[in-house]
Amino acid sequence: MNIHLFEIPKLLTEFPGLKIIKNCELKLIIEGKIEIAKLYGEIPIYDDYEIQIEILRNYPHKLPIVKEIGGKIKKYRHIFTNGNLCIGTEADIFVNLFPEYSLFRYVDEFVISYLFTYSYFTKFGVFPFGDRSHGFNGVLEFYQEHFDVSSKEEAKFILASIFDKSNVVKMKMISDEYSNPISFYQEKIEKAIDSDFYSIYKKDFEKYKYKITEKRGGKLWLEMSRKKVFSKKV
Amino acid sequence: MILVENRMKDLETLFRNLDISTTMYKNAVDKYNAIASYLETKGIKCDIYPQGSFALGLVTRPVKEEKDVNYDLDVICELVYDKEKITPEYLKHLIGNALKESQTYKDRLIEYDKCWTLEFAEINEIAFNMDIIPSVEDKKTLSFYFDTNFLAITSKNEKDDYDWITINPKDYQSWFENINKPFLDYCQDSEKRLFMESYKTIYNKVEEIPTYFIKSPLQRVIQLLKRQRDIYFSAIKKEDKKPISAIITTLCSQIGEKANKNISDVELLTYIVSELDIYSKLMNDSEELFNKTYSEKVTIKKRKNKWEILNPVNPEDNLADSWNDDKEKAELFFGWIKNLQKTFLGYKEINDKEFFSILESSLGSTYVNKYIERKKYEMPVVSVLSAHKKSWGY
Repeated sequence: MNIHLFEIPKLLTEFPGLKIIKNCELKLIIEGKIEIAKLYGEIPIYDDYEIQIEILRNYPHKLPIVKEIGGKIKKYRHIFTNGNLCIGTEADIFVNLFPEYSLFRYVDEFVISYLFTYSYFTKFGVFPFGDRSHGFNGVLEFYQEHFDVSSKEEAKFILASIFDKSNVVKMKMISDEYSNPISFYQEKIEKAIDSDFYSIYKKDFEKYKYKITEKRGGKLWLEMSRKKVFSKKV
Repeated sequence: MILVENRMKDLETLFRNLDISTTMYKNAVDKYNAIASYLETKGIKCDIYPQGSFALGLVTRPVKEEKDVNYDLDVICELVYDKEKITPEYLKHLIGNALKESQTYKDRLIEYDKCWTLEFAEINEIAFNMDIIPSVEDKKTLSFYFDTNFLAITSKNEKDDYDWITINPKDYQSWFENINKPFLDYCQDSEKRLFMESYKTIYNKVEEIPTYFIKSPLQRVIQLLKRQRDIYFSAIKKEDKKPISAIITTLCSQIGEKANKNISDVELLTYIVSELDIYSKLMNDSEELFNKTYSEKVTIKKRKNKWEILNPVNPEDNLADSWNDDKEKAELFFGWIKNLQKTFLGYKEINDKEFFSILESSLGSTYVNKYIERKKYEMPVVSVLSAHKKSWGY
């Protein structure tokens, strides 16, 4: 049995409204009410949601699929058209749950945080912790925080450079553009290569390779080269 | 469901506890008197007295970035100097240098653009900052105001240059007290009795109660609105765009002036918020249409598409100036008023859990739970949200 599924009893105890509704060879489906009584600063949120969590047997290779089945979450920008909730970027979840990949923490931190955010958003019209852009931009926003750089372009450059070490000229360009020494990026790239999260970076690199390399070899670099020439002329 | 009368009582309790404590008040008064005495030993004769909310009886526990923070108490440090014979830099450093020479003050002193701030340690878990504002008399007069008490205070800009700024806090205080007096006349006997009952171990006679603590519904409504403003603007992440306290005090006073003076806190709050909401029509209606429809509503004006809330004791000072530089400020102000309506005006119709939750979201969970028993409202146990994750759309 998948070791992570041993946490299911804890999950059901901590969230007593949840129960197993399907348990088969491929997956486990949990459904029921989750009550939120959480405090953020001075603001409490009391709410409840009917949710369904589908956990595949190969978790954490595949993240759970979470749906809100009570019909409360409508017309919201962080829900897929098929009703799956956009809990967070895969890398964000993996990095945060590393190394145990606790299922309980997945629900207690990511799912609860998502539901809290929705309630807060309907009450105050803002995302209390910010939110991520859709698609690849949102993925880069995570990497921007994770690599601790000031722009998405730098995050993209680091992510690309982990898997392509022939970026010396481009490293010079980006270091000029963002006024950081080359060693600033070199250290981050080396750290990432040796990191426990290497396989996570690789997964994202492969998934978004086209977007990463397209920009890297194309428009972005062209723009940066132009800027450089222009600034020299000035 | 808890009776409406009991909810009213709980609301009144929350109205009554936003202020500084009697201990902190006494401590603050002792502190500024000690500063005046100390400065005198340094050959600086000055008069130190409260200013702003401290002078108006409107001090409210502030909130910043979702957390309770220290109280800020402002005091004017007025010196007898001819403004024309000194520079603002000289005045600021005269006070600053003297305080730096004191073992008591030197380590708690910070210079800000308009004041010297002394950070005092916590008393019963609450600390306070005393902002000492050096000033001298300013002979400026307004052509149509004969009795003005202008002061010149110093202002340090980003280039570290000092300028004079003119203010008239005493005039504003007199204006406010004049409006507040009829409210106080109705309630001061009962207020004094209530106060004595709560603090009989501290005060022996009614005469000993500092006038600061005898509050009218108008003062408590302003305090409540200031507190709710802090929580609301912090919750919507727009702390830098919240309406300044002078706007809240001025609008509430001008509207309150027309209210029945024998009125409860909740009734006055309802009246003021409903009146303020009428002005939200200025957001969409033309000035002409608004003036025609509401000819008596002149507290907030729009002239040639510019917002105007005049300082009642200095018509040269438009308190809404910054709304004209940043249009979002007016939108947020009226959004806040709508939120207030939802928060406080519908409290009879909702269930206990909603009522308690609204109180917490409006005035801060820590504060509400300190004074209202949550068990009574059958509230669930609340825990701190452990993770702050960002949702993402594919």
